[in-house]
Amino acid sequence: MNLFRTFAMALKSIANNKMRSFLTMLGIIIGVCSVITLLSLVGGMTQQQLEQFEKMGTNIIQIDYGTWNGKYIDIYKDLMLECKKYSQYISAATPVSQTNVNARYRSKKLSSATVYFGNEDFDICKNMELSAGRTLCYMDVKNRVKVCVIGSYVREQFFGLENPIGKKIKLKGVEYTVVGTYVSKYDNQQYSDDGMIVVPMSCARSLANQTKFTSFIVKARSADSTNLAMFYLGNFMRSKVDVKNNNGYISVYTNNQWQESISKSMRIYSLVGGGVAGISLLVGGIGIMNIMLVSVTERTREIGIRMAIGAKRSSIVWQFLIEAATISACGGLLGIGLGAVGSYIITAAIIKQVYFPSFGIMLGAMLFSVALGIFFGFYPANKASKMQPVEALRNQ
Amino acid sequence: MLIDIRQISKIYNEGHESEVRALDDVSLQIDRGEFCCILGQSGSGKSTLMNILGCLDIPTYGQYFLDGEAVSDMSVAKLAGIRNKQIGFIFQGFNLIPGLTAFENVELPLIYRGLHSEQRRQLCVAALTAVGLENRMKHRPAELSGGQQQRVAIARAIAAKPPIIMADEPTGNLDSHASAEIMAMLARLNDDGASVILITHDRVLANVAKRIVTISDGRVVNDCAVPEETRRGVLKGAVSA
Repeated sequence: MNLFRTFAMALKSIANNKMRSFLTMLGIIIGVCSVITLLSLVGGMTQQQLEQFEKMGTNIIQIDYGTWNGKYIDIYKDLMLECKKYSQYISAATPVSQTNVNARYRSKKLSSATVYFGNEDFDICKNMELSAGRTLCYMDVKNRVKVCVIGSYVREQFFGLENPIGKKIKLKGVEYTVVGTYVSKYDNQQYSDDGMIVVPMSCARSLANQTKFTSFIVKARSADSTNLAMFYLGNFMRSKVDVKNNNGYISVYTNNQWQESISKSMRIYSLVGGGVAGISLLVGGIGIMNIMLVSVTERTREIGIRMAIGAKRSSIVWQFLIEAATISACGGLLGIGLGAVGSYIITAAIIKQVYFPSFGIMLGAMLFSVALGIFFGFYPANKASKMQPVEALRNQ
Repeated sequence: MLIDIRQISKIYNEGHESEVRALDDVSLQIDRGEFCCILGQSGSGKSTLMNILGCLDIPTYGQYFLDGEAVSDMSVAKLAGIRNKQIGFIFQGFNLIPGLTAFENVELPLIYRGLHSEQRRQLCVAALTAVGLENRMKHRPAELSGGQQQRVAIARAIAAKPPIIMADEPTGNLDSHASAEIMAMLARLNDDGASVILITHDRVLANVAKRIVTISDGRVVNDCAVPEETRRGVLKGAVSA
């Protein structure tokens, strides 16, 4: 007897016992639904955390160095060349240093405004987004052009609704032309990146009497390339600073370690949540076995009739197995549907961001429920097939 | 020789105090094309005999040859094949599957035989037409009368044209009119070449067969032919009833 016919028979048998089949499915429905909802919730939370990290800037490598003898080693150009050399891992690099100066625009004043010195990659490395105008460019840095890009707090304080582009602000009494503004990142707080004024690094000498840069920010292309970039940059730094003989120090670190620990704890949540939901799936599977056993008992006579008219043991096994698998597959499908709705509601309510289970999770849940049906259906199916036809027929 | 059983015994709980000898040293031969009735009172062992003849049960002792092959040595799968291809069963309680329509019930043994759907459809329609139920194919057993249900069971038994038809008290649950119809049908099947084995306790109905084997306490006590006139008389009476 072919599988298609057996499958059709199983469907018919399920349709003939709608209520019982539905109650059997209920365990699987609840199990699959809770697995999917829980995994979606954990997945959504992980994604949200990662997005927050993204905002802070992911794949950022911070480099600091110094010497103990006070001798300054200028590594800027070499570092930039090194970053270019490993451009498959590194997307941007900038020196970073800051000073606090009084800033003025006409009659408005900001005391102790934070001024950053950087190059054309500054906004990429700091993960800042432009809201208007342009960023610093190579020529600004090369020619010490007195331009600046301002954070949203500075813009608000100085210009209000006025267009700041092209306006001149005074930093320590010297005029700088505003060429761009950044999107707010931290609700317009003064002592955050929203309160900064970014000027070309070449202006550091005139503005802060500073010619040395010992801090850099490097942005790797992806989380995967961060470690490789760190490896090469570490080698580079060691070649420049004599760390071995303790003549100086270097520090190359990344905030990805945080990310990793968050991902790790989320994986643990997934496992625990998935495990708890898995137990309910298991209970659902045992429910299927119970009902199939009842079904075998109830249908003993039917099994007898089928055997009397020529059903082989294998036909009976297949019939009950396919019936159990079909019930659990239907339960799995309904569970996936309910799980998707549950995911929508729960993620929207708890993390304020809708997150749906991935196709892989849904496929996995489906296959798992079919496997459960087959596993727990086997015992009753085997029991049914072992009946003696004459005994089965005697059953009323 | 179609059926040849030699010194068959069926003993339940052998060696215990509650030992029951349902069949005791029974030997019987039935030829191809015979219409044989196994007659006996309730508890005489006739149903046990039919179960063994129908390969639904195996004897404790003795040998059974069906069409020259030793059934006692056959595997479970082979026995299932014999039940499917060689024997058509008609039971007292009809034994139809309640969830399936008349058509699907008749189709079931053909499915187990592995026939294609078109072939199955043709055989089912032919069998149901032969028992006069061509208009009831889509009905479920619960929607049919007792007589109609037994006709479905007959259609199921004859659909695959097996050489042997075994009917165990086929009229036990039917009124006299329906019983007569079923008996006439069995006689017709025999006329068409099938070997029919009828199990009954009814001495009058037994005369529809060409040969009556009487069983009592698990033993064959009488084996005689039925005169053609008696047969015809009973059949006539049955039909007129």
